[in-house]
Amino acid sequence: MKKFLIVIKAEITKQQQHDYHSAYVYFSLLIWPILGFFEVYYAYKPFELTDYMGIEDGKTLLAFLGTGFMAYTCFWSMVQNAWSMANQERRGGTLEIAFLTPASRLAMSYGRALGALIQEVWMFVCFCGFLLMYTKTIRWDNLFLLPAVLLLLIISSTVWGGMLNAVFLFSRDASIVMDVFDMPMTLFSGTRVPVDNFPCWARIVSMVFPLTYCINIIRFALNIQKSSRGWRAEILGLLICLGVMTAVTVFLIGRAERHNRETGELQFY
Amino acid sequence: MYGAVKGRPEDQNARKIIAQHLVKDYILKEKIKEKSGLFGRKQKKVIHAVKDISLEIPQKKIIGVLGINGAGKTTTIRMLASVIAPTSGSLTMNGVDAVKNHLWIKERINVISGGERNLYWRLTAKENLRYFGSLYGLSGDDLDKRITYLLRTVGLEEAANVPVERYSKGMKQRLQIARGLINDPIYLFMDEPTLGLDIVIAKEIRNLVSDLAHKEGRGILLTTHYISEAEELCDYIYILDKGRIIAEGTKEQLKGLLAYEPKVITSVQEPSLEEALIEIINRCNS
Repeated sequence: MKKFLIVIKAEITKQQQHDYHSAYVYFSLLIWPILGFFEVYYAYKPFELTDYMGIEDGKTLLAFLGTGFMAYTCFWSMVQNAWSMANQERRGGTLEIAFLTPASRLAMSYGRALGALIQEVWMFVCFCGFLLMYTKTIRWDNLFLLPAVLLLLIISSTVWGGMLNAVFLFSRDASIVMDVFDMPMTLFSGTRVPVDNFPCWARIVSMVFPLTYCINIIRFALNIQKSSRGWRAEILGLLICLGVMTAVTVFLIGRAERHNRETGELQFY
Repeated sequence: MYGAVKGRPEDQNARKIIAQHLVKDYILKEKIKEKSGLFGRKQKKVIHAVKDISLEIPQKKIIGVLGINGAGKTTTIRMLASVIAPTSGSLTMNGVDAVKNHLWIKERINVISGGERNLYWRLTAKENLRYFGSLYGLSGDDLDKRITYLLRTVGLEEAANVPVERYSKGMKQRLQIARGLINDPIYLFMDEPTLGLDIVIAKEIRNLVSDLAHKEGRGILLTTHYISEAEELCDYIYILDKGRIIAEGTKEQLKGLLAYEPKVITSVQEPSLEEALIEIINRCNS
């Protein structure tokens, strides 16, 4: 366990030293999610929303979109980071050196995810936190919910990112994975539109993404917009998703390692 | 020895890596051009990278593996370093089955390649070593002391906090050696460690390699295309060609194989190692 944690800490430190060595990086990490957020907010604002699926007015809309984008940014940054890190490490030869060591591959995957998560989203999460305070969604009497919400996001995103790091071991160019996770995740996870608004087939698709459950749990906890499934079903769904993702990560890493020992290469395609 | 990792086992018995009848086949998918169709049909082709190799790497010795490109040197190193599993054959390290216990083996060996890859260029030397040391479970003061010792050993103490992207080729290679020693390995596999370096730096690195084996007691497997390097460093040499060992021995024994044959006598009484190797490989191919 000690070695596992040492590897996670090393990956987080390495990420920070390698990718986030300049103030300009942090500036760009704040700008793109804010632009995306305001683009959607001002797209909806002209419509007079009164008690539409729990969204009563402009402030509720802000809170609804703020929570959606906060969670989405955490998950999407994992996709981007997994793809770019895998490419960089493969080209630089450091991936094969890392696989020469006896370090836990699972710790490496989760450490990379956690390192990227903290660095890439903390500014936007702060922005969303202020937004939720401005809309009085977060008040003094429910301030204790904020760390719980953040912990939920950190754990879910890290497990998601660990799985993606394992997926990107398998290919020199897995840009198709980026395409698969980009628009479907944005559309079906409830980031911009309540999931309950979807037809049946779309709700089934939304159940595949752990982001859906995260967003619904956060909105339920902050009393923004309640899911028709109820909070118990959402938590159960998230736990099942996390369990499946962890199992998939372990399987993929083992498969990549076996493939590497047979062929000398990590990638399948 | 100052800077040794805590808890290093003494390994009293069978202090060597023993590889017996190692074979490695790769399966490649080749496109069939004549009947390609829309997406192309592929057929499987087996490449026999290593056909039958048996060798030993004792501690305190430098073993050379020489051969032309494509002879199977890199595949052999990768099998010995437990990066890839052999298709057949046995491999033990100090009596332990290396194929079944590859994680145990990885704690006790390391690989150093020539070239400028395998380092994080945006990180400093210290940061690189701290990261790679952590992958071996090292941390805290032990790791810091080890890093200081290694950087002093390879002569990078003053450049410890400079990003690697500003290093010269020689400095990067020295850092590679430091990285290869971070886990205090019993055996080292060096794949062309002086590739592309000038004669001064190359000489320094050869001296370092010699000390690692003869003074510090490590077993080293070295591949190189520089015959003078093999002549200077290697206690025993294996010559590979087309996946097999075609000759082995000390440099004197290899020279002695052809010393009295009229064909290879030049201006000196006995052939150089380079002449002997070329002749051996040519004879094998003919």
